[in-house]
Amino acid sequence: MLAPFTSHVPEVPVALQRLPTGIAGVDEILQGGLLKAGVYLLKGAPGAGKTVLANQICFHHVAAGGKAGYVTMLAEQHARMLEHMAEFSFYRAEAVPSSVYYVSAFTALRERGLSGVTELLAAEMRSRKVDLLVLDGLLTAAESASSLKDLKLFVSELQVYSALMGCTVLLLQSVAAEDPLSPEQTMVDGVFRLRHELAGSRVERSLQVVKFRGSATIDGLHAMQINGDGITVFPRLEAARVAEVEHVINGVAISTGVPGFDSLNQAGGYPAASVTALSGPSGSGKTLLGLHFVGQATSHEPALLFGFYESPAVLVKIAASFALDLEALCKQKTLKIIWQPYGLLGLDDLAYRLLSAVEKTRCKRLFIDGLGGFLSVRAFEERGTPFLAALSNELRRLGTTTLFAVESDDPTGFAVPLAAHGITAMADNVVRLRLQDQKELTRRLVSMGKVRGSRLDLSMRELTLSDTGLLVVPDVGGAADLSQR
Amino acid sequence: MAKVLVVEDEHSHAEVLTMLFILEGFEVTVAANGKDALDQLNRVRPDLIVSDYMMPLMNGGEMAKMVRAAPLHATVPIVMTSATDPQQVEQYSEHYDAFVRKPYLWDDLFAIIKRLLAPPLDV
Repeated sequence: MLAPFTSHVPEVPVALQRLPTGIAGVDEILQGGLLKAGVYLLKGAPGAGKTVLANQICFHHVAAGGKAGYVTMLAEQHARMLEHMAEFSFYRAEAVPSSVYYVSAFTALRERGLSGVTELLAAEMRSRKVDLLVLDGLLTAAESASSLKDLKLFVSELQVYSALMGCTVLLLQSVAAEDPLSPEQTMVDGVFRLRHELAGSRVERSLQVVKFRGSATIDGLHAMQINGDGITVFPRLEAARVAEVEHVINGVAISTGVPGFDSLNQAGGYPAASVTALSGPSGSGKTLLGLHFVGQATSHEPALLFGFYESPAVLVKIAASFALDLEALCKQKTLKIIWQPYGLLGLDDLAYRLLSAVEKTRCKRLFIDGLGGFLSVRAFEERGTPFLAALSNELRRLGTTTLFAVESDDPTGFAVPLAAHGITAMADNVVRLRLQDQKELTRRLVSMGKVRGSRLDLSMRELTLSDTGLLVVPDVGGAADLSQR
Repeated sequence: MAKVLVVEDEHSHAEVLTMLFILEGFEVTVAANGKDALDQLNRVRPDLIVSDYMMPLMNGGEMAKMVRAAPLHATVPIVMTSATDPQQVEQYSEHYDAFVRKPYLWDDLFAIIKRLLAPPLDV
């Protein structure tokens, strides 16, 4: 008798190969994507984004050469769903039905029960060589099952089918994301919860991976958005960005752009790739210090201004009144000004917008005006300190020198947010600004709170405003005395 | 129509294999373990046996050994499948024709089956 032969075993077993979702945030959370031939449950209340997410994954998959099948067990027509999907940029009409095939299992379910659905899946999907299958309406299937045993058998057969065919399966179930997992749901390889809830007057969406066999994931709630491009997911920053920062402060300084300011510390400016908090009350000169800083942009040291308050046009105008020609810098593309709507975006959305802009512009000078844009987000209260620590680390890692304005109601400049959120621990350097009333005159004072890795002049100096902007008065005169009051 | 005897103790796996074999035009009988398979052998007279290795009452290896010893079925091609290390099954290798490690793809299994069932070439 001939020796038996053994089937070819791929170097990476099918079960460990990845199927990217094409949604960068989701793939980052899953460390590369879904596992091929896995069965995954997407659960969430109607409107949570399950259908959009599943369709988006399908269209990404077929764009990469795969074949997808979308099976609904609901009575509704596919035409209506396709009409909605056509509104998204990921939708490709030419891919339907040759690459993304939509079929209804409603009749099979009604006439032959769950076994009818399994047979339909095996026949239709096998003949079309589908390697990504969406089954929309697990709740309908559960309601049609004569017993829990039948339903478990159905899920079990789906798992066997997916493994034999190398087909990844997404099960969509319209139930509240918080509902506990039922026995048949515990059998699947992964469970995703999609939520949407009102936060004040705006809707906050999130995605959570509550179970994922075979691989670690980034835990917790991840902010999610749906817009014309489909779904965007922002991995929770403080959990996603934990890489050690290799950069060390190396004694190189970036000029503040304010005459007399650079000499306040041994470094001779803001240490390169450090994070500096500019703390002070309204009118103390935080924004102007920031404008001076970005106003020094060159092709070697491009700058980015990430603001929440004044629009780019207003900022350019303010700077122009102090002979800082930001408009010219913008035209030369050495400066980019990005304005963010105040209070409308989530923490992670803001963070990824900022980091993406830093990466894109390769800026060496960054001014964030100001921290209040982050403080206004509801989640800041709970996540503020770890979030800012992660954001600062990322900015250091990207090699940009960052200033961020920290608003304080306290005219002495010992800003409440600094203490409350541990920002001083996160910032490498602290510049304190304060307003001091002296008879008929209000004076601006500045002092260095700390400069990491550098000796500094702790004395208080006066900041005056001239036609060319701020400058540090070399002779403090009565400023030190005033500071004692 | 070729007849296949699927020997598999895992119900869902047997169900799906049955479905896929039927779609390929096979007549399928399922046995829940090696002993059950031997009991059905004379009645079914299969053209092919696809068997799991680890099963209660009698494993796939023992079943294959007994099939080879039965003059009527000694030449029936047997495909052994298992999630265990192939070395565990090695001791029975003279009694089966092919080994496929679980989890396997249907296409890979079926390619082997087609080779086993292909008529010998005239030389």
